[in-house]
Amino acid sequence: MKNCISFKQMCEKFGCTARTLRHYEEIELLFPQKEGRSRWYCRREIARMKLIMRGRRFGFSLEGIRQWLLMYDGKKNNIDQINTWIEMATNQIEELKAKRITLDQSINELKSLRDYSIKSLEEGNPSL
Amino acid sequence: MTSYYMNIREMCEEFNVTPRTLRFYEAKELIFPVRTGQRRSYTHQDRGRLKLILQGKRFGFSLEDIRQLLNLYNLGDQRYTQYLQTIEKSKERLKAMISQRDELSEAIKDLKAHLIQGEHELKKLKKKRILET
Repeated sequence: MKNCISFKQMCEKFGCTARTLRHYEEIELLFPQKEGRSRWYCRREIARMKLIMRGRRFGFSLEGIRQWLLMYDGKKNNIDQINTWIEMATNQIEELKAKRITLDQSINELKSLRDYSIKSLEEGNPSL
Repeated sequence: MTSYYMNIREMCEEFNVTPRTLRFYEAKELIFPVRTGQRRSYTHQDRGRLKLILQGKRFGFSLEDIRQLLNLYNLGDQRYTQYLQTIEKSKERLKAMISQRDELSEAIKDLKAHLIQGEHELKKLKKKRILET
């Protein structure tokens, strides 16, 4: 099929497992074209997959990603849909920020442990 | 003063973990409660070790790394090897955590940009609706 890629190419392109790709199809996030037993992913599915991967990186649930995809589908855009997405994205930003704070705390704690170990090493072994 | 031994329930409350977690750490030879039949009593040493285990988990150390680090305590070298290994492992994990932090910041930035785009979309749509009515 022209301008379309196979199941295997899709996995390679996005660095995902076959299982993941099949799962996205099962829960109706992706709709590859089927030809016998093979599946083909064309422009629309590739674009959708890009958004799915980005959404995962943002920490969205798959249901959240579905909302997002609906919004990007464009044609049937409605105010409620965008509002839902905005609310979700706003919450997600807060969650990511909270995660970053926790991570910062762990980083600082680990730095203290490292510095304490360095200091103890030097004090216990004046020859160093 | 707390008594020398703690039972499993007291440990769970103190450290906010489940009994399952405690039994798992025991199976992995990270802690060594005194067993009396089915009952487990946790010593001061177990408490100290558990505190370090949970801290290590937060740092993303593997349980095997934690076990090795803990066991270096009794090596009889004034903890020289333990400090050395801790420094090395800490540096490794710090590098990973800092890059994880960078990714998180990047994601926040990107998502904010998408949010602005969404709000823009919304404004456009509302305007259109007003024009249509």
